[in-house]
Amino acid sequence: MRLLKFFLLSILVAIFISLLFQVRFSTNDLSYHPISIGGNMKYGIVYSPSAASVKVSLSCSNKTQIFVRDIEENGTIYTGTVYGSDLVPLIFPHPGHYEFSLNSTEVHCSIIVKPIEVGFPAGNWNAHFILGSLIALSLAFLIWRNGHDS
Amino acid sequence: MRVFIRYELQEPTKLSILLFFSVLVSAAHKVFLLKQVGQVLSTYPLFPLPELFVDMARLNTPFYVLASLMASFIVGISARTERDLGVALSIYALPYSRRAILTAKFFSNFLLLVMYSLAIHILVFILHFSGTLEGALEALTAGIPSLIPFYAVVMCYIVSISSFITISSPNTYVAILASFLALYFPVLANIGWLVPTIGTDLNALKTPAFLSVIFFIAYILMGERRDVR
Repeated sequence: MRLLKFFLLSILVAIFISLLFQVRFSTNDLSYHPISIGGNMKYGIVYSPSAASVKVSLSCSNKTQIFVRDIEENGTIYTGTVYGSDLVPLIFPHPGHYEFSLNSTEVHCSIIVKPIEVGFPAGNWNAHFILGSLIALSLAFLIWRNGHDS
Repeated sequence: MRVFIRYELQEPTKLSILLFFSVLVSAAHKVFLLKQVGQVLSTYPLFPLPELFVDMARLNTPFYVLASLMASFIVGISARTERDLGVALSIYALPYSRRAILTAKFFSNFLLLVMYSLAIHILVFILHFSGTLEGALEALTAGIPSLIPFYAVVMCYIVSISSFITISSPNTYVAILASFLALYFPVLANIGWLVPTIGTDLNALKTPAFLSVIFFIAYILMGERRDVR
């Protein structure tokens, strides 16, 4: 019983730590690697540690169509044609991976992603609060039952 | 032996240390997920989330350092303090062999560390990617078969080295410091094959698994022969 109580308390503390780091996370903490796609390497993936509003700078060797796919949700979040270079505002809706791809193997593109604003989706905050509340309730019940027995 | 394992699993000082362990390890995992900067180029579409899930443990050196520190404390308290305080005389007078008592201590420490590490790892990952729960669960299903053996070998390695050093040490303080030094020095000296977190696949764990067996046997032999006072 003591092991279970300590374990639940540890889980509760871990949820609190996760929340704390998310609250303190800001735009200055976020940076994306520039990626260069083209030829056979026509898929380039960036990892976003948070949801973010970003500006994507695209420089391509020729006119091409570019796609941005949300890998975890498996849905396209942007499709557009680039004539040489372009600046595109995008929203990364959640922490995860985003795939940039071209429809041609003859074009090369350099992609620079700059964060404007960061945050976390509502589902993420809700998961923290719901799970935290459930664990806290279970822990309170265990402590109450222990006191009741003795 | 089951009684001893149950007693060791409920030991309040160890559980308090594991509470601190969970604070530090959850912070290490969360920082890893927030500071990770990655770019992947490919000829075909990929699903890289399972790899990130496993890398949270495999490439996370702060996690290894924290696990080493906490394991040193837990093993030191479990196997050495009773000898310092003289309680060991009563414990080893019980109708169980020394080998059974020492093995129970080893397995309870190992079980506690694996259970806490695995639970916190999964919790932090799922919470971080809870905005896309379906993708996170898919990554969890794909990554867990390699994560469980990884944690099992790493914790067995850490606990076996700590146990051997603890049982050979003159007191608890020396035991804790010496076992942390033995586990942390390879990180400082960049001796990759002695640090199980730095590896690209499960083959990198062969050496730590082999060393775990050697140190476990040495711990039992040393514990059986040494005077419990």
